[in-house]
Amino acid sequence: MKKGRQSVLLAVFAAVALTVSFLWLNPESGREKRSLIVFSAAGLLKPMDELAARFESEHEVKVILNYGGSGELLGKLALERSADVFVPADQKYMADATGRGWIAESTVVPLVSHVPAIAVVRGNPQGISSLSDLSRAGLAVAMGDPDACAIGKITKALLAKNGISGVDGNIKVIAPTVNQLLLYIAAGKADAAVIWEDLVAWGETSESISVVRIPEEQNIVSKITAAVVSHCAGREDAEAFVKFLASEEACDIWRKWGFKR
Amino acid sequence: MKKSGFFRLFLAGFSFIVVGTVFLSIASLLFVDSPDAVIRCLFSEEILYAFRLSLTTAVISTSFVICAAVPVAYLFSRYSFFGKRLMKTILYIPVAFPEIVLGLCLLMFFGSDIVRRLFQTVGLDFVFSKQGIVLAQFFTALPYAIRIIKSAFDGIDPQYEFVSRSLGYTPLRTFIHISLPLAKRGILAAVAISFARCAGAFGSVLILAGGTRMVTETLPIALFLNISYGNMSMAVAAGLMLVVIAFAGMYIIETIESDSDTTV
Repeated sequence: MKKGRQSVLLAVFAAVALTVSFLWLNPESGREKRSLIVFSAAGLLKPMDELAARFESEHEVKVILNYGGSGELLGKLALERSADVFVPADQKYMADATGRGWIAESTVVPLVSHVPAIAVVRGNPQGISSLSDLSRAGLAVAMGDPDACAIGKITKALLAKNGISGVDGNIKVIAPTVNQLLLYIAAGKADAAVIWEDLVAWGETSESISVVRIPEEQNIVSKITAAVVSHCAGREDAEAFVKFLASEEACDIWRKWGFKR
Repeated sequence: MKKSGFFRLFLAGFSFIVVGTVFLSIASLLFVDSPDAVIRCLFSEEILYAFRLSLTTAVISTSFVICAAVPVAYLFSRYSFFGKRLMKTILYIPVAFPEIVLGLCLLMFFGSDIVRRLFQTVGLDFVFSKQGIVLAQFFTALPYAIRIIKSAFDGIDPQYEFVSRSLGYTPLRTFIHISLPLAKRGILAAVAISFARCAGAFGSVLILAGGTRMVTETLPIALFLNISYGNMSMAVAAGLMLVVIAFAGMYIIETIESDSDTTV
């Protein structure tokens, strides 16, 4: 009987310990600290992580970053308007969101430019020098899905703008995220892909990927914008964060990761 | 007596809460979007394409999985040899790590120049292709199948095989005529779970086969793509089909298990 009581005590203790450690997983929910949910395009991961950390150190707010393809984020915004700040990779997604009333147009702030470029295998063994080279026979091209991520939409628009046809036959894969494009080029599974130039400014990727710039007159430059989501819980914090993203202080961080004003 | 009644009530109540939570989570798929929109999407070209592709690839993968799993499981179950534990651990690794890592490994190996060219000479190419879907599904489901079939072989009384051998059957004939039929239930269970695993494989398929719309778009990929497009009713339609496939797979296993409960 005594042994039985001991094991019951042990079980109760274990249950309490389990509950405490489970709750501890989300320490911010227990404390009074305010939090801010940011939906950010996955391509902005590096600067956004740093920007959020800087903002947190200056304000009493916990910034929770949710990364995804711009289309995916827009979809999530449609489903549950639980985000406070929205930062898509192209102004088109912002226009979609304001058009549907999820974002007040007056809060939209332009941040930096997103410049498309051609990523090729390191050292450019295929000698790709321009967008029109992508239609060369025998090339393996990876492309972003035009409906799923901003870079896919831009790729399609770039080919149309420059009147380049015949790329379709070279497209070996249409990937839903820009990260996959980087992987396929870095691993040499595809010869070329249109991606954001800033993505390859990062140390890790520049070792396995080379970049071919697209001349300005042929290019379509996206504007990254940030805005406060309508009916968000912490409006003041959200506005402060958006303002911070556009500040001079943030500009240095953007520049460090290859983004231009 | 009274105490055992209370205990039983507690177990029942607790289990009811657990099952209820799982059920409600799954059922909430139905309330994401209006039912008629979802039903329309169920019969859309894209979802039907993904359904057919998932079905064909999963049937092919499952067949390969069973063909590969039966001999390996029999070896593990009947023989002991140097390095067996290490071999088993290696085979079971994919169970414990994210599918997306498996996809990356497969892409690096089967996409490497030498290996890829080797397979291309016999008409196989796994990178960004439907064959890649099968390969990814195969490795996702294989460890589960080996585990189940091994335990089926483990459960056979070695006396039967011994008698068969003593009556003059070779080890191969013993395996085919005695061990395999006795392990039938386990193999059927492995078929069901492999099929469900194959149809539900996502990360490995996405990385190796690329996830191109209407080309390598299986049901899980369709679900992911349509979330990315912000097209919730299509995503829910794909999700519902996956739930049905998973339910069928699990129900078959439960049926097989309860059959063996009553007969043994």
